[in-house]
Amino acid sequence: MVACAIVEGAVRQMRPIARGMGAEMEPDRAHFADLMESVAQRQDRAAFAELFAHFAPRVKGYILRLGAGEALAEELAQEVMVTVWRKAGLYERTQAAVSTWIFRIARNRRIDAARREAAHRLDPDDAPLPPTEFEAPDEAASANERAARVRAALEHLPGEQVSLLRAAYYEGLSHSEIAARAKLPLGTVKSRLRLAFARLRADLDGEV
Amino acid sequence: MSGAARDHFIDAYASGALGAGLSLLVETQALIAPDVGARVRAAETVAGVFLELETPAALHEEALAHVLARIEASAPAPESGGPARAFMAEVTRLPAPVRAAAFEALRARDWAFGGPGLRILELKLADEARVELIRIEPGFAAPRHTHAGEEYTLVLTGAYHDGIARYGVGDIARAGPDIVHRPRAEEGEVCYNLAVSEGPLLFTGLMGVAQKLWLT
Repeated sequence: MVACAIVEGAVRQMRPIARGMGAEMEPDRAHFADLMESVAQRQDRAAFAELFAHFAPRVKGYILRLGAGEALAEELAQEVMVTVWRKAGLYERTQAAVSTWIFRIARNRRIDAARREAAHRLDPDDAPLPPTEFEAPDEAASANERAARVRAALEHLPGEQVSLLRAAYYEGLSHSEIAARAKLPLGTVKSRLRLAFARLRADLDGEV
Repeated sequence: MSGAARDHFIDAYASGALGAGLSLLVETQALIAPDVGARVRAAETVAGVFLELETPAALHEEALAHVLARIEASAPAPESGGPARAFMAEVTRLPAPVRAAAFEALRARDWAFGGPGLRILELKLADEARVELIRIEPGFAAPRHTHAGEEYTLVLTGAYHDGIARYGVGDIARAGPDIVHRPRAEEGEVCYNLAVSEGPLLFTGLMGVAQKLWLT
């Protein structure tokens, strides 16, 4: 276990992605995993603040993308970060990159928010479904390495396929909704998504 | 369910497109069926990378302070408590997401009698879905029945045969108005099932289309 001293403004080994997604920097996933462990082990507020600075605006961006208004996106993003703190003890770096783990929390909060909206009641302390916990993966690649491979594979897919994958796997749109948005036949959307995801999985862990 | 329809179902869960009831179903299946777990993990990894790539939206300047204040104020939620109920030892050994929902339900209500050897616990997860934990004693059967809408049933422990096929741990059975059956638990082990019925629109939208296109 690496004890990580939190240095103000410390950003390690950021490197640019070659092409395709503009000036996006490859995140230092090992560092984020260290920060999560500091939060879990020592209730380290500086580590949490660093995670917050990086992830909270992205979570808010995700919720806005799903169609929420500004106030709801702000509220849900804050709730997600409260849950990140509370559930930090359940984070395991061998199981998930921090981005994967926080996505799950945001996703579960989304499901829960829809449920609460349906029920016409709002309880801010109503805990969401806990993040899914998995058995140790068989494959040798670490969770961070898997995320890095997905990101590298996305770089080599045509932009249109990246858009389809984003709509299906991130925004949670149905295939029909994606077909309407992309102005493509439904069958084309399905076959392209199936091929694109199979390719990502092949890069991930050698299974198709 | 066919392989492609099942994949679509898993992906819909991972992306957040399913309602609370079906999300609980797939989340639980992912814990007991390794291939489902692997696909969920892959889909979530992809989604997490898109979160990395998301355009940041600035939060309120006091947001971190608000969040830290809420963390200070919050006490850990009570894990148990409530009245003593039947089958608590069995429920404790169910997969964690179902166990948590069952404990919550058992604080509010008891098992309902569904017939000889049959007990049903309603899990009030979502208004749009009927979610039930069903307990069948070994060798006992549910009454012969059909379904108003689509119903998905995940086997958590034991196994049953409904006269058409056998379903074991990790299997999801899909039944609609076209199916009349009488599930009978196998001898030897109590059979726990998680049954979810959601609104018909979801199924025609999600599964109906998927089945028609993939099964040809």
